[in-house]
Amino acid sequence: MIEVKNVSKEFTKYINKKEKIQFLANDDITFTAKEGEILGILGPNGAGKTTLLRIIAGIMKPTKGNVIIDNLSYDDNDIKIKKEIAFLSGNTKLYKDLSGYELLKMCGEYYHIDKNEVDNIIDKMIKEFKLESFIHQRIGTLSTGQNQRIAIARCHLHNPKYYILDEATSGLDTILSQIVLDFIKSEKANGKCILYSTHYMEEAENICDRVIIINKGKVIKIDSPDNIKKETKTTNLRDAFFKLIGGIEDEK
Amino acid sequence: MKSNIFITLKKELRAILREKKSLIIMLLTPLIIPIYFFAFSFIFDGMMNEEYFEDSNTSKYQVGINYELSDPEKEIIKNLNLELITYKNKEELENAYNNKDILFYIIYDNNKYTIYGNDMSNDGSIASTYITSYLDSYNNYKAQEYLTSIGADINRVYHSIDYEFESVEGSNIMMDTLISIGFTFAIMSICLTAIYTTTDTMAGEKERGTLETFLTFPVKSYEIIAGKYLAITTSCIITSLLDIILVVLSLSGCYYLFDVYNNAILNINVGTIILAIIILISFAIFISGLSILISSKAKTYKEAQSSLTPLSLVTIIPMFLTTAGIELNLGMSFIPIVSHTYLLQDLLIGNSNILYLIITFITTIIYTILIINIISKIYSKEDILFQN
Repeated sequence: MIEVKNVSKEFTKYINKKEKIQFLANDDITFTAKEGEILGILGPNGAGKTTLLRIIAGIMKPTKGNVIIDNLSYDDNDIKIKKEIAFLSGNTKLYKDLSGYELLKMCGEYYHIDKNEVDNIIDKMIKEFKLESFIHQRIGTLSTGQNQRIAIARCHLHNPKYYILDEATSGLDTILSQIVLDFIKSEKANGKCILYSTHYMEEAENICDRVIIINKGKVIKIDSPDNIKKETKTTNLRDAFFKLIGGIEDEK
Repeated sequence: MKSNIFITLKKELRAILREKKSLIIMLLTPLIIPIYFFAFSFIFDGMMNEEYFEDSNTSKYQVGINYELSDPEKEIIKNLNLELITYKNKEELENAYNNKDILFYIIYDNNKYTIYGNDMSNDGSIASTYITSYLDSYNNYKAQEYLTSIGADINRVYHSIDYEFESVEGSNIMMDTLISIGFTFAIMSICLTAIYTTTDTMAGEKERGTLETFLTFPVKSYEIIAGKYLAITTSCIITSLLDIILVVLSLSGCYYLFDVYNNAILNINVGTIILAIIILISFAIFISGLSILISSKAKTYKEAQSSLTPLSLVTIIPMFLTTAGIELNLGMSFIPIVSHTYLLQDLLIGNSNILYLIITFITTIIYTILIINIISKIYSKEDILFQN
């Protein structure tokens, strides 16, 4: 289980390299996410979604509060926790000088998976994600879709309990998005916990068990899409979202 | 089970070896060393052996005169590198001089010898020494002739003291300068390797957006830095080894081919080569850390290269110091880059100072430990990792 407890993250912003402004990207955020659950994280640009996911993935440290995963804290068990996590972001790039195969082998080494076992896992993933035709090509020469499939395979390689996906379908076409969404659903079926941030409300409404709506660093709502729609008296999550964040004008 | 540092080292080395620019800098910049040594040895050699003789059938400096040589003068000239050619008058001498048939001309008039020519040129300065020697010798001959005629003891007058030159191998300013510049190139090539590999390994990882992926792996930040540092150091060591091989081969070749190294001591043996490799490796260890430290705030290739470029310029300083005749001293042995270049140069000309060598090694280790300490602290800061 992922427990996010009173997490705040303060950043210092410099304007024209002279004026210094302190601002909270995350402000006292608390929630939990359980195994077999897809938890959507929704919010406008700059709401603090990426910062929150980075904190949960152990890439950043919170200014206040903490993240507990399987009753372990990053303060003294960061390596143990990271072995159970996979992080995939729309902005995450892969090593273009490596082939997909070399990348997966390298990841296997970092997760200290037995050499023979890595080969077996890679063979399985080649079939599962249809990587045969380009697995030995340099990543830099691959198309966006092929890249994304390698990226998903990378996340899946060490069989993590938790997936942290930050706008993983952003910029992808319908077919590629569907590959990612199918993967998320299948991992949910395997009992995995998935934190999924997205701009696409329809996507979130379709696959998420619950959603967290964040605006200006604060949690506005945590509930299932159906309950949020009921509460806001809307027919879809998009309308509910705008209602909760105060509409387009307020966002502007 | 492989350590994360080793896995990172392997990953970074693979990236460096697949990146054309880094590979070219790492393997090709040392090639400037043999080109430099052979080209400059050839030029210096030419300057020493004088281009004057290249177009001449004689190996002697030709000087015009407007008088006939006496027998004693002919005897004196035999021992000098001069050929005196008699012309009829001043006009003929001037024409011959203007046509470059002769290097100097001497007009004898009323018991006075006037020498015309450019004694500031390379050839002129040497030839004028021979002319002075000829006239001094002839003057002495005339004096002795006179002293004999009046019954004076010539030996007492001319040989009150006795002296002779014995040529001994030793310092050769031209060779020292060549070696100093040669090692400046060696140090510079290591520095360039450090700059390019650091730029790609550190800022490149940020710019390409792969750092985020890296940070999600179950790896401690010090393991990432250590792996990257070792990869940069390994690249610099590869350049160092190429440098030393090329310096030794080039210098040995030049030493036997060119006169510029005459009477100079070239201290190349297994011991000096091993010591030179150790000095270069210690420099590689230091410069790799320094490059990472300097470029720590850079988030793009461009920023990293801008911040690191001055480092390559610093490597020229020892060359200027050597050219200015400044020798390595206690204070300078505490300054890396300067001390490394000087130590390498002194080692090859057999002039090493063990105290300076020890100080340089110890200070290099201390500086490197300090730098790595600062780097590991800096790279755990989020504002360094995520400047966007």
